[in-house]
Amino acid sequence: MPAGDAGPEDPDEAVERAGMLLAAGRPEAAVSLLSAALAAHPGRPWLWGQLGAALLAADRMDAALAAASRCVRLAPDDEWGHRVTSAALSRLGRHAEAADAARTAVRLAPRCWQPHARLAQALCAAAAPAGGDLAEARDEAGRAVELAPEEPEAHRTVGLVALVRQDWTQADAAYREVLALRPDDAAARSDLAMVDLNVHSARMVGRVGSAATGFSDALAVDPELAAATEGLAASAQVALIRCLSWPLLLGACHLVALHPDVATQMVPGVTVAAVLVAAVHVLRWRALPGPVRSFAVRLPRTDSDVRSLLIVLVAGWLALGVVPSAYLLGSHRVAFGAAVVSVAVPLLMLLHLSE
Amino acid sequence: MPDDLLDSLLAAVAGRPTDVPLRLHLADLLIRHGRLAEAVQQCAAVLALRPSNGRAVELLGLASAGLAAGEGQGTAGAERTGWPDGSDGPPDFDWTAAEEQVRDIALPPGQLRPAGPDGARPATPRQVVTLADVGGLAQVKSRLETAFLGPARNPELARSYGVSGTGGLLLYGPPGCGKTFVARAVAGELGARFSAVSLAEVLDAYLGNTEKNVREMFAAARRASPCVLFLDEVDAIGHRRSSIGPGWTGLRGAVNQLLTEMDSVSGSRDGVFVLAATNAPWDVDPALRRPGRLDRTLLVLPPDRLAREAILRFHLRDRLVAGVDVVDLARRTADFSGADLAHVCDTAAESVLTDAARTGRVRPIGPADLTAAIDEVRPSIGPWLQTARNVALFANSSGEYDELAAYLKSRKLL
Repeated sequence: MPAGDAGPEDPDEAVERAGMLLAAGRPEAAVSLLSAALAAHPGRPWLWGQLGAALLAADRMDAALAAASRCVRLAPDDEWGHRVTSAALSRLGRHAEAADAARTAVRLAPRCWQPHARLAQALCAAAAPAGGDLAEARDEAGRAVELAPEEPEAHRTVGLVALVRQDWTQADAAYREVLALRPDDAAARSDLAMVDLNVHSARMVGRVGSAATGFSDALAVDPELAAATEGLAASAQVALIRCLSWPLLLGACHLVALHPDVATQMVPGVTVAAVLVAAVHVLRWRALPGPVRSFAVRLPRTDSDVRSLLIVLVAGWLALGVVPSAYLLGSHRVAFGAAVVSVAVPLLMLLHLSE
Repeated sequence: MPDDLLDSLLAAVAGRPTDVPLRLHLADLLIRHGRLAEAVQQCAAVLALRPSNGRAVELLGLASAGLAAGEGQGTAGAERTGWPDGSDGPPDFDWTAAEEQVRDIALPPGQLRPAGPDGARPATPRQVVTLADVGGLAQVKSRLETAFLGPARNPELARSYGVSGTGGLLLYGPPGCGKTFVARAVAGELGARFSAVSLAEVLDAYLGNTEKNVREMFAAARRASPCVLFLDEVDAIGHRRSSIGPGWTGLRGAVNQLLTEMDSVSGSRDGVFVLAATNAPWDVDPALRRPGRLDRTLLVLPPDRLAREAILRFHLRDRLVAGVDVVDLARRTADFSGADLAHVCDTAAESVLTDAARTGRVRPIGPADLTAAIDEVRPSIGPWLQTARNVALFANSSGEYDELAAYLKSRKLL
C-alpha cells in the first residue's frame, strides 16, 4: 500500500518504508506513516522504535523519548529501544540517563556496533561541557570500529571522541577514514575543517584558511549543514580579526614611543615590523577562496558579535594608532608615514570588504 | 432532551477535538437547548479548525444573536421547543441583518465587500487554472513562456531554432511560494491534465516494487495524454544518490527508474510534460538535471506586491471583512510567502472569532486585526535564504544558480 494511504498495513513494511523516507530526508512523512501503522498495530515494538527515530529526525525530542520508552516497555530485551531512548535523552541534555540506556543496549547486543557507538556518543555529550574521563568513550568507539570497519558512522564516532579529547591527529585520521568510505560526506568534510580550526586555537598556528576552505567545501555538498556554516563563520571571524587588528599593535607601539624614556628612534623599526606583519596577513587573506572572503565580509552585517568586535577594533585603532602618530607628526617623519599607512591600509581593506 | 446527553456529547467532543461534524451537531443541539455560550465556544473551535466553514458561521450568528438578545444564560436551561425565530429548524443566516449591523463601517472602493443585490456573494464559476489566475509574478510568467510553454506548444518551430522542447522543467524556490499552483497553471496553459506524484506514493518495501510504481506513474501519464506529470518534492523521489546509504536500494531504484522514464519521455512526443518542484534543488540527483531531463529551471520567488495583493484577496474573499486596504497590506508584507499570507489571514480571523465568542457580538475583520496578525506572523523564508546564500557562494561553480545569485544580490544578501 502506498505511504500516502493512512490505512493499516504490514508493520514490517511500514518500518522499511519509514526508513526509506528518513533516508530521503522526510521525517514528518515517516512519522505519519508510522502513526497510521501503529493505529492498527499498537503492540509492535519496532514500529515504536522507528517512530522514535523518525521523531528524533524531526527534532521532536519529547515525543521521540515517549515512543522509544514504549518500545522498551514492549521489548525490554531488544537493544534498539534502549538505543533510541539514549539518543533522545542525549538530545534532551539528560546525559547520565542517556549513558545508562546506551550501556543497557551494549549489554543486550555486545556484538553489534551501533550500541557501542551510541554509548561513546552519549559519554562524549556528557563530558563535552565540563570535560571528563573519556577513556570509556574512546574504548567504546574503538570497539564499534572493530566490529564494523566498513561503517562510516563508526569511524565518525572515533573522530568525535578524539575531537572532544583534543586528540587532533586521531580526529583527523578518523574523519579522513569516513571520507575514504563515503567521499561525498559533507559532515566529515566539516568535521575535518573543525579539526583544523581547533588546531589553530590550540597552537595559534595558521590553519584558519585551510579550515575555511574545508567548511566551504562541505557547504558546496550540503548547503544546509549548520555546523559548517557556524564553523565557516568562526574561521572567517578569525581571519578578519587578524587582518584588521594589526594597526592596534602599531598604535600601541607609537603610544609607548610617546613616553620620554623611550627613544623615538624605535618608531621606524616598529613601524616596519608592523607593516610586514600586516602584509603577511593581507596575503593570507588574499589566499582565501573568493566565496569565503565574500562570506567573511558580510559577517559584520549578519553577525552582531562580529559587528561589535569590528567597532571596538576601529575605535581602538583610532585611539592608539592615529592620535599618537599625529602627536609625533612634527618630530618624526616616519611616524607620519606610519600614521598614513595605519589609516589608509585598514580603510582600503574596509572598502574592499564592502565590495 | 436531557442535559446529561448533551454533557455526554460534550465529553465526546473533548475526546475528539478535531471532529468538525460532531462539534457542529453539538452546537446545533446546544442552541436548541438555550446553552448559547457553550454553542459559541463550539462554533469558535470549528472555525479555528476550518475558518471558512459556512455552517459554523451560521450557527455562530444564531448563538451570538441569541446571547445579545439575552435569550440564553450560557448554562443548561429549560429545553427550547424551537429555534430563536420560532421555527422548527435552523433558519438561513440573515445576511441582511448582518449587513445592517456593519452598515456604518465604510469600505473603500474596490475593497472586499461581497456584492449582489440580495447580499449574496457573486458566484465564481469553476474554471481551469491558467497563468492569468496567478497574480503578479510577471517575471516568472515571462520565463515560463520563453523557457517552457513556447517550445512545448511549438515543438517543430523550437527544433528549427535548435531549442529543445522535450526536457522537463524544475521549479525551485522558498517553501510556500506557489510552485504547485504555477505547475497547475502550466497544465492549464497547455490544456493538459495534471497528475501530481510524491515519494510516499511510489515507495514500496518489496524489492523492485518502487521501480515498478515509478514505471506505472509514467505509463498512467501517457494514457492520460496530454498530461503534466508533476513530481512534487523531487528532492525526495530524485534524491542525490551519493548521499543515500547502501541499505536503501528502493530509493536508489526510484532515482534510476526516474532517469530511464525521463529519457523515454524526452525521446518521444507522447504528450507527457514533466514538471518538478523542490525547495532544495541542491539535493536533487545531478543526473536528473542533465539535458533532456529536468534541464530547465525556474526560480519561483516570494510573491511580489501584486501577487501578495492577489493572495490576500483570495484568502479574505470568503470572510467578513471591512475597511481593509489590501494594497497597503501587500506593501507591508514584503518577504512573506503565500503560506505566510494565508497564516496572517487565519490569525486575524481567529482573533476576531475569539473576540466574538467573548463578547457575543459578531464583527468583521478590520485593519487593526490584520495589522496585529502581521506583527505576530514572521516571514518563514529566512532559513531558506540562508541556505540559498550558501548555495550561491559555494555550490554555483557551474553557474546553475546564477538566477538565484542575482536575486540575492538584488536583496543585498550576497
